[in-house]
Amino acid sequence: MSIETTGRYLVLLSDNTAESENTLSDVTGIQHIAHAADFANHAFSADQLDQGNAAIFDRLGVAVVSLDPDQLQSLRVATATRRSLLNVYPERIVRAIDQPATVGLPGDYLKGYRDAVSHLYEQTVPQELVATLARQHQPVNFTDNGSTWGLQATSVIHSPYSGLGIRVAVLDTGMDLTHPDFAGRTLHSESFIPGETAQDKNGHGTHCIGTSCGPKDPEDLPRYGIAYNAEIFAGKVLSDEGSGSDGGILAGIEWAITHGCAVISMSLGAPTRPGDTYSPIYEQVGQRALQNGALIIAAAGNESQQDPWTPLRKIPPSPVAYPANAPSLMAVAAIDHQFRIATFSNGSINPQGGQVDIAGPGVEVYSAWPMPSRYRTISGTSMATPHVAGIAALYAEATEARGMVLWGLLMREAQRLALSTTDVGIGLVGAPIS
Amino acid sequence: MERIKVTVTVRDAHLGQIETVAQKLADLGLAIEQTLPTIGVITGTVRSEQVQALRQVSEVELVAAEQSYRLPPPSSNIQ
Repeated sequence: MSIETTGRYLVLLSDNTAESENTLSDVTGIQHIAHAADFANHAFSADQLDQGNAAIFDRLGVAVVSLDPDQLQSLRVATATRRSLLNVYPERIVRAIDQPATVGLPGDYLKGYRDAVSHLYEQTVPQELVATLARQHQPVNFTDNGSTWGLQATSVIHSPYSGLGIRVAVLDTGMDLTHPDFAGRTLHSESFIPGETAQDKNGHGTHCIGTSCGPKDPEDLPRYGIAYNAEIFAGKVLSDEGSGSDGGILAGIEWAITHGCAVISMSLGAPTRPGDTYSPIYEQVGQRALQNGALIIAAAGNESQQDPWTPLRKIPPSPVAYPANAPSLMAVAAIDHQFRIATFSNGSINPQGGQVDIAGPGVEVYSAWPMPSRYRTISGTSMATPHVAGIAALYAEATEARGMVLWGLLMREAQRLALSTTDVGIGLVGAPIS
Repeated sequence: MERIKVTVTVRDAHLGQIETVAQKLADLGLAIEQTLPTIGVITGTVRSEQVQALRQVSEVELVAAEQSYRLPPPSSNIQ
């Protein structure tokens, strides 16, 4: 397929549009620059684009200009030497698939325009392309003995972020407050279980906090923790026996939001049946948490069974558990180190929020355990959930995003997998690496 | 009479008056355990035949029976 161009050029401007516009004028000598913002609905017509020498799409940060060869050469030099102009690219003629070349509706024009701008954007961020190419759909061999397979699979070990300045709440069985791997860490704890302190005598909570917030350099390798500089809020909402109820969990959520936690990790749930609907209470609480800048991440549940004749999961899986099935709570499934769905991991069976949103490493996960054991390797969507929570803290630090914006970043950056979206949602959670 | 544990949510427009709402619910027989102003939740116990009356309070959005949770034993390999 040949590439046709219009003779015009797209110029990608810096975030400082005014400065970019001045540079564009200086370099090309073009004096008359029209702005989309000055037109109704911020839209030029094709005629208006043809008339002017240059037109700026303010919200996109893109200028469309007609250039002679000398002007083009000056502009190319400027994009290489001046920060205010990022790139220049020939405007391409793009047509709707299976449409004859004579059709020239404004809608087609704008769609083609959007594609061209996307293309231009991709051209200017080679690091992102490199990262995309590096993240293949297939698992690699996790041969690095210095960190767990889960931290390698999610690129945590390549992330420059540590959760610094981010508060992460883990609502679970509490925390072994004497664990040597957490000596010197800022650790807040609160028990919502009558008659019990936040000290974890079960192990589940310590394991989850280990994954989400454990140290970068534990005395004994491998590294197993993600947001190693995050401030830990260990809320005990499940007893040492492992039981709890809505009252304690909701009190824990209130406590976490009040203390400014950006991420709330909940490796807990109760089974649902096919046809069940989500809890409107948790949906409302999830929405209010998001509005207050807190993202609740919850385990999809482990009720699914292995097929008795194969190593695979029995079909159909069990539905996503309560409360992860509320639309405004992020539901996390578990995959293994071969990027297969874990045989126990629940799936998207029920409509209206009963879907898996994302997957995390959840089979043979090594993390902290109360002393004197110190470490333990176990499996479950409970283990996948704190992987997502810890990585959410890295994005919260890297971008200052909170709430739904943070949710969107986790979705945008997740690694797509060759698995059903009903099993793994958008794919495997991935850490910010630049 | 059987008493059940319930979770009540307050409508968005009345989040600022959660204490007043809690008092109304208490007058209808809710023994209040917690008032959580940020997420707009009130928890407590009530006689089962009074649940409908709680639902009819205009500032109340939802009333639901409390759900319980239980983890597998700590010795389990799947958690």
